[in-house]
Amino acid sequence: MASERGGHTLGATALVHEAWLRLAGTIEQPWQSRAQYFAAAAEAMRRILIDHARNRGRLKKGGGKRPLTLTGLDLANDEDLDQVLEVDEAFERLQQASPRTADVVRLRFYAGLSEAETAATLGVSERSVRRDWSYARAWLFAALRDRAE
Amino acid sequence: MTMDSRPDDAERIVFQEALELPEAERGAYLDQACRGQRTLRRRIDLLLTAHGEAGVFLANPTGGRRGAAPEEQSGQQIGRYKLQQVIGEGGFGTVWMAEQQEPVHRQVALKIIKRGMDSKMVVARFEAERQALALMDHPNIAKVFDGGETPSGLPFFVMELVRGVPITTYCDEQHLDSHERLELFVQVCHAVQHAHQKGIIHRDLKPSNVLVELHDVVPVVKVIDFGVAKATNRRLTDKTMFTEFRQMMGTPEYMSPEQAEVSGLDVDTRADVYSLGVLLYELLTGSTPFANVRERGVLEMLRIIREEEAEKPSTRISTLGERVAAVAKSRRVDARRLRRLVQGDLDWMVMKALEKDRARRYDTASAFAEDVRRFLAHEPVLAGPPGAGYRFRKYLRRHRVAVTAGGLVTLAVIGGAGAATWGLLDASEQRNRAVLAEEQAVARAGDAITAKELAVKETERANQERARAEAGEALAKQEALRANTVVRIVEDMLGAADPEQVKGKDYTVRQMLDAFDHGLGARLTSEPAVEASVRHLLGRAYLALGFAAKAEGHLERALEIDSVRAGEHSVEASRRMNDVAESMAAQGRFTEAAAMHRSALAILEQELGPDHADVAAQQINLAATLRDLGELDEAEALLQQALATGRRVAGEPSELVGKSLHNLAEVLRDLGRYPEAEKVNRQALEMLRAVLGEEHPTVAASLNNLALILHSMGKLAESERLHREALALTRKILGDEHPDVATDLGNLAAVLTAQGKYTDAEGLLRQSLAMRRRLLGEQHPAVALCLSNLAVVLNAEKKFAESEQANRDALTIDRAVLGNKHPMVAVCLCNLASVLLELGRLDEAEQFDREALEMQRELLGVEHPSVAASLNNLAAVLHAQGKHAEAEPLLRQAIEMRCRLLGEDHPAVAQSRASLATVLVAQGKLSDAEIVSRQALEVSRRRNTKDDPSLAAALEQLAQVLMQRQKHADAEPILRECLQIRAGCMPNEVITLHTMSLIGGAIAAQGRHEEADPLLRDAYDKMQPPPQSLACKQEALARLIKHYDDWGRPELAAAYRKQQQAPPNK
Repeated sequence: MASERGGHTLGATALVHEAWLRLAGTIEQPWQSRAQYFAAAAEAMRRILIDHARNRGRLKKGGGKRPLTLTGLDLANDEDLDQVLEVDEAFERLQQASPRTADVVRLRFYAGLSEAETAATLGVSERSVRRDWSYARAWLFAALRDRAE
Repeated sequence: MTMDSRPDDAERIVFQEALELPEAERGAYLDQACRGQRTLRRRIDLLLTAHGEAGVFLANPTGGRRGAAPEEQSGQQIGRYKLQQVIGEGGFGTVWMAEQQEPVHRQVALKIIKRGMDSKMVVARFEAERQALALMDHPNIAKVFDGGETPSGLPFFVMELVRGVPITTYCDEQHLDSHERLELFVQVCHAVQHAHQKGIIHRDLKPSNVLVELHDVVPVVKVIDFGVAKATNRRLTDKTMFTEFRQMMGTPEYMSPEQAEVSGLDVDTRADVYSLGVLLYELLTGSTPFANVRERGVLEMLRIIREEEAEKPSTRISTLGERVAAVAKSRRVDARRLRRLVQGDLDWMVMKALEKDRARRYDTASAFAEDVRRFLAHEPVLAGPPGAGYRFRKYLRRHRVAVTAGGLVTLAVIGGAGAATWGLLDASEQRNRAVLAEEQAVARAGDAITAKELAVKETERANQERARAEAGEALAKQEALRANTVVRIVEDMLGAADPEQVKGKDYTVRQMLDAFDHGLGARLTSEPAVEASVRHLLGRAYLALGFAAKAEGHLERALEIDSVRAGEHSVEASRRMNDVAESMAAQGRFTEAAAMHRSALAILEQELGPDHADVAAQQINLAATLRDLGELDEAEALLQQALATGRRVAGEPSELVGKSLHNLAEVLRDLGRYPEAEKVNRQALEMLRAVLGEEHPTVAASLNNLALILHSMGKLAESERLHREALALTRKILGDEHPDVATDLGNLAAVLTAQGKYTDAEGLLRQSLAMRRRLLGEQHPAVALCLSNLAVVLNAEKKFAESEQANRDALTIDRAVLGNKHPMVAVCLCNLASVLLELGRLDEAEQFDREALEMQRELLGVEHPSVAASLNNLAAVLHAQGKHAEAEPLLRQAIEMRCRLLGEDHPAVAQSRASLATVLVAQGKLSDAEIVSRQALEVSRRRNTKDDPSLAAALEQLAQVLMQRQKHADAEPILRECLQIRAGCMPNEVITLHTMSLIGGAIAAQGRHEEADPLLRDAYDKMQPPPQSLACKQEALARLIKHYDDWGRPELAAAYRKQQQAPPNK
């Protein structure tokens, strides 16, 4: 507590040590956070997905203009696999251009989290997730269409 | 998330803004936002078009399948099997009735796993499981015959065909009464027990896997899908992908808490016991314990399963509402009788199976079955009403006595369930870690290799796992035994110390722990591992409560044991070292503590490598002790390292990074780098909130520290607001009666004191004090601390006698608890001296200040911020004794030391400079005094806002010197600036009136008596009568008299002189 007195006496400082709440480092945490967990899960998913598609040898290069019909991640549909690979390539570029919205794509698209879960994981509002998703989706769509044309 | 200003962010932001506008307004907005940036404009237009045209593209990112038809068709031949008709469809896949043609002709069920999983991996795992599955031979288990891959690459399983319906459906359709249901349930238990004996855990028990078929007219239970869950690895681990994650969500109602854990414990047979409990719950009440769990988000759902207690079945029946009639009817009773039937034994049996802590469940499925049988035979059952441990847990929960300075370790851990969990964790810790490490290694390995290779590895791993399970069975049993012993010891102890039964309400946690401690020796077995666990538990509990000396003995012993058991340089030993170091630090033995922390850190770095979260955590703990030692630079460096490591290994946001930031902010604050400290603490707060949620003790701690930083910065109103927020949060989380609440009250009181709100502050401190006495007993450092702070407020209130007493009480407690030499004892001495200074008992004050100084030099080193503060204090006493020349060098030393340790701009430097100026004035060294005062003011202007009270102090200091030098015209504007600040933040305080009086004096000295008159009179009249403002009021009076003398108003001067001569009574 700061002492403030007239100029004639010197204030002796009362030393008060009330409670800095120290946080001890906690040891033994398999996963540090949800975000990390889901990010890892999403990465694992991505890798398996790409391997899966490549192993099936479905990656068609070039080709004419095709409608972009991929609605979501679904390995049951081989038709989608080509697009999944293309999306993934575009996604890598999105990570460079806009890491923040790429985070949202990673959790929404690859880890399969809902808007609310994504928001909770990233510690942002749902509205922010929605806005970032719109941007990323438009960005990816534009990137893919450029390629197809 | 921070908004970095990359160029592409502009694109994102403009796009998002535009998107939220009506289309008609977008053009105008974009013209403006993209003015002069044609590329940006083109990109935005492109993106907006893309947005409009994207259609179904990624419209359903979490969507999954679009209802693709099954690829297989009736009549199709798959290996030896001919598909006949679909008999079931689930999250897992499709179940077909099929005809096996060789070697035997029979009908079978063929379950084809749907696409979306890596089939090779599943099949590989399944192959590994098959041998074990083949061992099962039980009338209540549907056999698994075979497995393979369909021509299109989908894995399938071949099982005994069961023509049955789910057990719940069967019971309801047949209107079975509760007894009949229980009889069927016993069959289920026996089937599960058989599998367990063969080493197979079902992992996915639920009604659709527990079928009832009629053999003639006799209902026979058939449990299906054993081993399937294992084969598909339906566990939440770091390497299970989201497909499994989602699939697992198919039946969360039956999932055990440990299965809801991300990378948590191994699942063992007790997970099935839990699921059996859920099944019985549903058979009895028609609903599952967490019936609406699906409607919540994934994370919330998992949390509920892990943390929330289910209501008892009988309670559920009474809260079923309209549904109760139907539920009762299908059991052929009325609602009231159903409830009475379930109440009691059946309630306890179900609840025992549903314990969150698996160590408290039935050990085996057959133990569960046996209890049901006893119930049916009207014999006493094993499950009973909750025992002492349970009641104690409830007591803890109700009273929220859990504590720690950091709010992290709660005492609940020593309660029944907590202890059990802990003990168990201890016991299986090593094994879990091994498994976890392996999983992570596999996951990492997976980075580099293809899915195929991974599948091979998975097979190997599955085999290894089995081999280990077999070899490790003996070990596991031993570990389980040890865990149980620990649990039993703790429970017995707590039972003996059951606060509500025996001791009444005034029983403190300390007394309870002591009772436990007292009986400990006799309870400990010869098993060293048990002793280490129990002592660790007890030691941490003592430590959490602030009884560090008691803690140290136990923690030291645990260290000895584990050093022998696991090796002196083992990771286990390092954890125990950390415990011991913490207990040393809590007793003020910082040097020893730092050395111990360093040893622990060295081991961890050696064993785990530098890039490990545990290493970072240990660095954080070492840094905390270094901060106590005043080694702020090293502490900062360590925390920066921990931060960097945390960012690499844990990422952001994460608890580890949050904690590193939190602790870094403290050190920055100590270093006087307030704006940085504020920024870092805000980051910590945001991150901890994101990771832990709003309602968490750690978040409250972070809020508290932010408030303290703002306090240091003089942002008192905001600090007060945050302290109140922290207090409310702590109360919400921990209840009204909790040591953390007492701490928050104390800190709020401190900021109120700084604002001159002494009465409120005193009230809060007394509240805090009483709470601490209730919870911790009189002899506790936290009680002493509270008394010290109370003394400071009383001092400010001029209640000197009371203040002296409070200081002396604090000193007595600290000496008794912490010993004669301890940094806190030094603090008490300083505080006592400052009251004695006020009381004019200068020789005593000098003696205490010198004693404190010596003690600090010995404990903390000759260069330490606290040593500098004590030099300053001693100088103040010497000054009051008139020994100005002796005071001067001490102050110069303090200034130098503070500059070195804390930096030129630190407020403590300013404070020492102000003192020095005063001492120089007293010696008549006026020009030196002016120089020092101007230096101090310059720094204060640089670092403070224009309304900061400490700026006001610096201004007054300089003005006083100037007036001494007769530079009244120079002093006047400085005093006016000072008054403006003080009138703003403490309008009615003596100090503000004192400033007014000073201005009056400065104006009068320039001959402007008419202007000075109202100021001087007002200031004097409004000051409280002495003794509250004795010195200031006397000064103001003297100034007033001088003014009237100089003005040529002897009659007024004389009138006021009378007041001077006869000081008013009281």
